[in-house]
Amino acid sequence: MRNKLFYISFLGIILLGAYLYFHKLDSIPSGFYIDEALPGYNAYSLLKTGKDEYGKSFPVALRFLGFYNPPLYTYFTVPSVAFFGLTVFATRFVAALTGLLLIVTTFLFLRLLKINKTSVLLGTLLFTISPWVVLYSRLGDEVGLAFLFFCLGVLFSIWGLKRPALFALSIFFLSASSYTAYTERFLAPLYVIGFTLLFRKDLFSKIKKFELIPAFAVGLITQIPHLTILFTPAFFPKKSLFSATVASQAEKIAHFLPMQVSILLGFLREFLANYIQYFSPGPLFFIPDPDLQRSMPELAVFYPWMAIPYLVGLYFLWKRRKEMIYRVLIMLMLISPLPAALTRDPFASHRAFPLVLPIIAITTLGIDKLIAGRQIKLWLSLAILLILGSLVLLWRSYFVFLPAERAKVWGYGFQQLAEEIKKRPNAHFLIERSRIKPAYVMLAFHLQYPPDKFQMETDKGIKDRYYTDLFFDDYYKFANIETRNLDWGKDPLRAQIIVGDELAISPGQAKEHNLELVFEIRDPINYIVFRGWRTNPLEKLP
Amino acid sequence: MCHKWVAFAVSVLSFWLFRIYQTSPILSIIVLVSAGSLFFLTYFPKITRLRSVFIISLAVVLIFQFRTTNRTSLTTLSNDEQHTQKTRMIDEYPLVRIPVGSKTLWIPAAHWLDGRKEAIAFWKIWKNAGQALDINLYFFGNHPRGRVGIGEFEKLSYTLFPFFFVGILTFNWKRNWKVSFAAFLLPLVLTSIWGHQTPLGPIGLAPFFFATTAWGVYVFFQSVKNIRPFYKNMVYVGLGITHFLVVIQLISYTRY
Repeated sequence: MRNKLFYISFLGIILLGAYLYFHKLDSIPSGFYIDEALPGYNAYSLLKTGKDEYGKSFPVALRFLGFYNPPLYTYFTVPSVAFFGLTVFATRFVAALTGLLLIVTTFLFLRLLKINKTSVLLGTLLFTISPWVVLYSRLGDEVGLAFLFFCLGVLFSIWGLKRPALFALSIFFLSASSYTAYTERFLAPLYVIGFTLLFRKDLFSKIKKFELIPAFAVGLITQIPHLTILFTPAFFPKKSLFSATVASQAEKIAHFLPMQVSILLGFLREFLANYIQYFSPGPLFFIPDPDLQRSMPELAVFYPWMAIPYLVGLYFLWKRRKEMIYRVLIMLMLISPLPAALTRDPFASHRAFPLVLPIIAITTLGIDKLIAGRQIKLWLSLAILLILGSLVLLWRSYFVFLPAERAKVWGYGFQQLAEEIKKRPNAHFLIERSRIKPAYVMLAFHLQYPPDKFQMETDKGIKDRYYTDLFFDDYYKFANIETRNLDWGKDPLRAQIIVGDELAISPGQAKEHNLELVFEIRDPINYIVFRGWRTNPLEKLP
Repeated sequence: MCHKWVAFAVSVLSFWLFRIYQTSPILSIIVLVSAGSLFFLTYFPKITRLRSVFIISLAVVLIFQFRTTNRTSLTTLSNDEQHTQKTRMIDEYPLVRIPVGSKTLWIPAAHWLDGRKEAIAFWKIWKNAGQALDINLYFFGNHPRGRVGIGEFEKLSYTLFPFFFVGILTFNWKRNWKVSFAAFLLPLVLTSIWGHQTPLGPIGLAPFFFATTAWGVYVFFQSVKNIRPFYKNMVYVGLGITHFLVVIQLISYTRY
């Protein structure tokens, strides 16, 4: 393929990516999820006050709901919020831009595979339109950005084998990825260890030691902020490992074997079951992630037909396993799902996102082998037909079904609720919290509530025990809003509007307590999301 | 030759074969014959009789799968599916509008993609194929995605998974590619059409899984052939103990 046509085609893929990632970004997905509202509002808070929602100046880990998220996505969102204002688009903008840059890094990685240029383009195109990438390029959280840094770290490390000065850049980006998402916090060191072991001969004999010193220095300096919180609970607060499942399995095995062995076997099975499904054609190409918020209706993370080049690619990956780039690819494939496999969620697509690169690379290798030496026009036509079909499936699942069917799980209704609150500035709103995700940050976001006032109204003591207090209390009281569980003894006797989902207050309870329905918010397919009930304490009192 | 038989024995002595044996001892022998003929065809591709044995035995296994599968119509929708379809057809995308010059082209996309019987059958086959291609179905009793209404069980011990993987990658597909692909693709396609409501799982794929796993075990035997006897024995003993413990683990899951 001529160079000019090659690069024009690549540019076309980027334009397609820009359309897929930016088209109706503010309205599809049709809600605004809490994982987006948290970085969005905190970016706004940092912009306006230089502090996060708790009043802490530029934290090393952000105390989102007590989970202490790595902070870089939020910091990168600050300029976007400054430019576009506190909007859904501004929060998702960095993710969409990241998606575009990921197309470039994937293209560069595929070029290293020493395969046909047409295959490189097809692989890049598949990456661009794959449901996994589209989903996370349009979700305003850290998943894509962390992966971008990780990819850059991988690319610079491979280039570094020829130009050792680039190792410093590799370490810089890998380090940055560890400040962006939990997955990369574990994956980046694993990659460094794996890379060092794979290329120990090059690193310790061919390359002069002083050439590696800048990389060490960069690693050490950039990890200083992490070192400051290393021994606090904030460094690793997630407790969602599968200990409960292991314990229940171990109890069964303990009828035959000692408890210690049973726990070990229970862990082994749980971990392997989770780990292996990340390579299994079923979940990769046919069955969607069971988490409704992290998947598209009727589509898995890749298109079904890709299973064929994937299996062919695996076969040829094994054949070429001794070549340098394929050794890196095998390592990436093996380590990428490790952090995700240690958690209890089946096929956690957000935690396993770095697996996109090796899977796409293997599929591209398969495509290359399938089209190599054959009638290129025939195979290319078939590939284009399949890609067009894939785009139809993507349109159907993501742009048609998802905004309607998944609106509720994506936090649809909070924007409308904020409008209802704005209409009634003098009313007190009680948000019944028992069945909804913490509402405070969604409302603060959509109301564009001034961060300085918000910081004043939250628990000021948290600032002093910021990295040690893991307990998150979702009781909030700010502006004319209060989020807590409903107290049937007291709340109907106060003049206020009680807001809850469709099950919060039954018609019988409304009648018994003289509650008057003042508004109802429905999702695009007409399911009730919120109902607002006005209390009538004067009628209630004897 | 001894290694080949040991490799074959390690892979077939599984819960899957035991379950098949419990249901029909004759069928378990036919599955064994089918898996064995596929495995040994890799060494003796020119023995046409072996090929015939494989094809006939696989056909018998598939007939049994067909007869024991509670097949539902590919075009009939459950109540939930009907509700989803109705919402999609009416509320979500009944028609797609494409402006062509001054005129407008209306495409009944919802009808084409979700309404027609062919489309409904296509999506059902798609889902069934996805389930049949889930590795966890065979090595982990479909954990962590256990299905409602289907009795899940570990068909092969998960300690055999690495051997299966190596077997898939190193299996000499070229030597007998027609037979190898038939062993995989034919049962896969038929399982996708017939569905998964069968107590023994997709047994048409059992010969393929047994043969490739056995091949993986054989490749392993070959790769440790030249290491020092002490270390080789250590590896064998370690793997043997792990496999034994895992078998006990899997028995405990069936009992409790």
